[in-house]
Amino acid sequence: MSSMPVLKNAPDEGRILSFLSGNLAQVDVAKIEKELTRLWDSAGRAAGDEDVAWKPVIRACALNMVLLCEEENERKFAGLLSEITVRHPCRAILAVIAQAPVEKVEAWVTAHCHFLPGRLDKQMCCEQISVKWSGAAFVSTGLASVVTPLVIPELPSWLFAGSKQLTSAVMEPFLSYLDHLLMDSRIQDAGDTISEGALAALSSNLQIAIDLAEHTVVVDLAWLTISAWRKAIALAFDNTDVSILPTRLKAVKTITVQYGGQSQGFSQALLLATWLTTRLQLTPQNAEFKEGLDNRAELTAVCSNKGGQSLTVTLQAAEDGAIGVNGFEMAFSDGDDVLNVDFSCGALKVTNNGSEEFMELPWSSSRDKNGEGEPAFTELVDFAFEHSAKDPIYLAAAKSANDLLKLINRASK
Amino acid sequence: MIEEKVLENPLLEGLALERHVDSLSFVIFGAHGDLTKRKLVPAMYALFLQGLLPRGFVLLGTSRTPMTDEAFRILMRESLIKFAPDLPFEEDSWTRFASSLYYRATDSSKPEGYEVIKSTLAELDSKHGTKGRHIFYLSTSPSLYLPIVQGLAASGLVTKVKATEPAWPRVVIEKPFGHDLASSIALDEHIHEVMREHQVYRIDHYLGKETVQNIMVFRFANGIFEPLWNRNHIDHIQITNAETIGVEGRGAYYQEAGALRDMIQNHLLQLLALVLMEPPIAMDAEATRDEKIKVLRCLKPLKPNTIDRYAVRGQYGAGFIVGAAVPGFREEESVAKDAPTPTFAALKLEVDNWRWAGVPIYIRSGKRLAKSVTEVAVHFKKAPHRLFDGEQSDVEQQENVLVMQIQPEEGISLKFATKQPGPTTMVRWLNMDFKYGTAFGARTPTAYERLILDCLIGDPSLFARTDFVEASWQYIEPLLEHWDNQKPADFPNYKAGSWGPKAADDLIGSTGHAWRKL
Repeated sequence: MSSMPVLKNAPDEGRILSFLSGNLAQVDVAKIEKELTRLWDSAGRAAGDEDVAWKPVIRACALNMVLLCEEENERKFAGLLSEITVRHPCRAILAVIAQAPVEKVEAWVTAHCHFLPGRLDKQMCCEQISVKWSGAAFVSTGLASVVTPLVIPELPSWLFAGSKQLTSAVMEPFLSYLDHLLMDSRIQDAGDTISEGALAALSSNLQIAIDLAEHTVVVDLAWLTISAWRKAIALAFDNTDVSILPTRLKAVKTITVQYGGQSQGFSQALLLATWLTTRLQLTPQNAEFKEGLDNRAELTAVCSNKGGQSLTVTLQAAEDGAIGVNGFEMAFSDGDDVLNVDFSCGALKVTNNGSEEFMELPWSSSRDKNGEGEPAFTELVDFAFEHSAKDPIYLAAAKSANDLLKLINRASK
Repeated sequence: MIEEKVLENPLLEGLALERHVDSLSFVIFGAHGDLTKRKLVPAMYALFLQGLLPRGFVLLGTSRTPMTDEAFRILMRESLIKFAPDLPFEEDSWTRFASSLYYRATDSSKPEGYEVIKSTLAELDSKHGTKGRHIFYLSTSPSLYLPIVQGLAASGLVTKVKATEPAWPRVVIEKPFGHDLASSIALDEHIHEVMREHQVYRIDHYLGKETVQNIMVFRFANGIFEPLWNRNHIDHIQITNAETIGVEGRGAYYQEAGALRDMIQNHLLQLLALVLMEPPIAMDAEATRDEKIKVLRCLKPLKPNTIDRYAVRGQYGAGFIVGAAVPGFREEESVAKDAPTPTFAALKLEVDNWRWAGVPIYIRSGKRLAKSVTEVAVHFKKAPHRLFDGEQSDVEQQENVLVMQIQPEEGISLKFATKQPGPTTMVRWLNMDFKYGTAFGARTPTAYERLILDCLIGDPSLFARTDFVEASWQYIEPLLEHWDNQKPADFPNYKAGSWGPKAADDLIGSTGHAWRKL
């Protein structure tokens, strides 16, 4: 950017430039819309002027994205919002919960601008509004009363729950105005072992999804990360290609899911296992958490159905594995063959009885990292926006996962 | 079929596998050509990366150029990197994709060539489990379409199946489909001797463009526009296809084709049909194509004695495009110095049906025009009473215009009147704009990706049906004949970089309208 020019008839050029450059400008909470209008108006009026330092801008908005987080994660989530705006023009609202002795609400505005592909004469900009609620105890309705009027009507609206303090009660004031809940049930603590607290947090997250799914479209990023695994396993039983007969699903005896990142990868492994058990109408009967090989955490559960099928589920932490699901193995009671799915050469490799097949991963970011990493957050969000409908398959898996976690809890007591 | 699988395999439920492709072999004739390198293989690779290709898949390229499988793979790899920079290229993925690529050098004018293809496909069917399902894509010179179809039939690679049977094998034919009505009918007759219509996929890449597909969504998913979509509310419609480029090394082809055959007979009449058709009874291939053909059948035929009132032709001379001097059409490589080819055509069409009677439809298409833009502009009737055009206003009475922009920036805009802020009631006309690029950040699939996938699945909705092709030739045939018989005396009659000949302005001006200033 060139040095600051002097703008005729526009005393606040520096403020506009700062706004368009992504810097936060504090505004009166009661006048957020008014201030935004003024800034856009000034930016638009001056853009054609030779003296100003910015190019003409397009103010774009195709959806509302509200991100709820704690103060300590504010910077991280502001970065995520900025990334989202590049791919999905939106009104981005960062709702921040802060601990403070005195209750107050503050607001800032800024814009995220980028050049349109192949065009250096025009920038597309999305506005971001940050609202920080500070207080000794968080009052959800207080923050919601500032945030929800900022949602642009008639456009799809998403709440991304990035806060640890979330409960259904915290989110409900927001979800009375917003159509979709984007959440991440993955355990965020990168501990070496899976603590009881981490399991409780996972159970709580799943319970929120279950509670809210009745009225809201809930999209769980943890669920999206395993979509490629689900597809690879499902297609292994697709009888139009060389593969296992679907009738053999009734003879599935054991499944083992290996996950990396210890507690961080556990939730995906659990959801993958319960997806399979719920599709086979199996319900968990007992579950046990123990230390397995090399002190690595291992969950074993037995599930059964009315047809007499009994399936043992084992979730194993993989040593030095990439975060998330690392491998899947399925054995049958009617044969010695094993179905295996794991990462290989940037794709999922499916093997059974000497035959092997590859399934490309839908995530280009994983592809770049040789397929062994998690998809990037922005790719998951893209995926979420494309699949923004109620998902009964997820809900069933989430309920079963939560039931299984409760069985562990009961067993440990 | 999918429903059966879901019932048998409960794991498939909820996985969005609706667009299922059976294992198959895809054979490209003209595999050494530009279209294969620039469009077909990148589209195939994009489908592969999205997991949309079946596990049992073979892409067999063939042309006269001698080349090994490995050389073909290297050539396609280089083309992909060069022509599809938006696709994430990763060596492992490419290696897996490339393991499905094969090449055989054949002469499509000789029976031996087909025997080579046949034996190769038999071998690859067995190796890749493609189960004898074959698609043949003719990416060759149009003069080879018939010999190739006949060669495929003679060798047994193409057989006629019952209309009720699955459409295997399939043949994809690029435009132009025929040179005129007679040649189009003749080509169809020969093709139908060896294949049924549901085995033939006539590709028109315009129909694979997102905005073109969006015309139907826009019209039939929005309740507010369709009630206005008729003679009571629409004054006239303009369809423009303007290109700044010239013939770009295709002088010999273009000299024979001209603007009518190159753009209007296929792309623009397809656009016209989508804009004017009645709502189909269902979103299936035949219902949509049934409605589109009805539009062409309603077009008032062009009569030799009045044709000059309905059509204008032009040819560009030397001029400037974005500041650079460019030669005239007759100075282009491989073009005759006295070529009578129209590089510009403007038509006024009338539609004789209940919905559109009395609404003129203007179409213009030209090369070396001032700007590259393709759009459909629907001009609504002016407000019946000039309430705001008093002495205080110096703005002339205008109308609402809905523009569906196809390229370069895909989008929709609506021109509407608003009050200019101030003490008096001044009317200002503004555009409400929607651009695909700013509303949807995710990568937009190319037209070929969509169309090839549809062909693999067996969905011909976005391909031209024989009756549409025939009707489109039928409509422009009198014009082709008229222009062939009356050589132009004034060519070149517009400068490169202009908006076409003045006669085009007169054509639209005769009914009190004017071309949009783009």
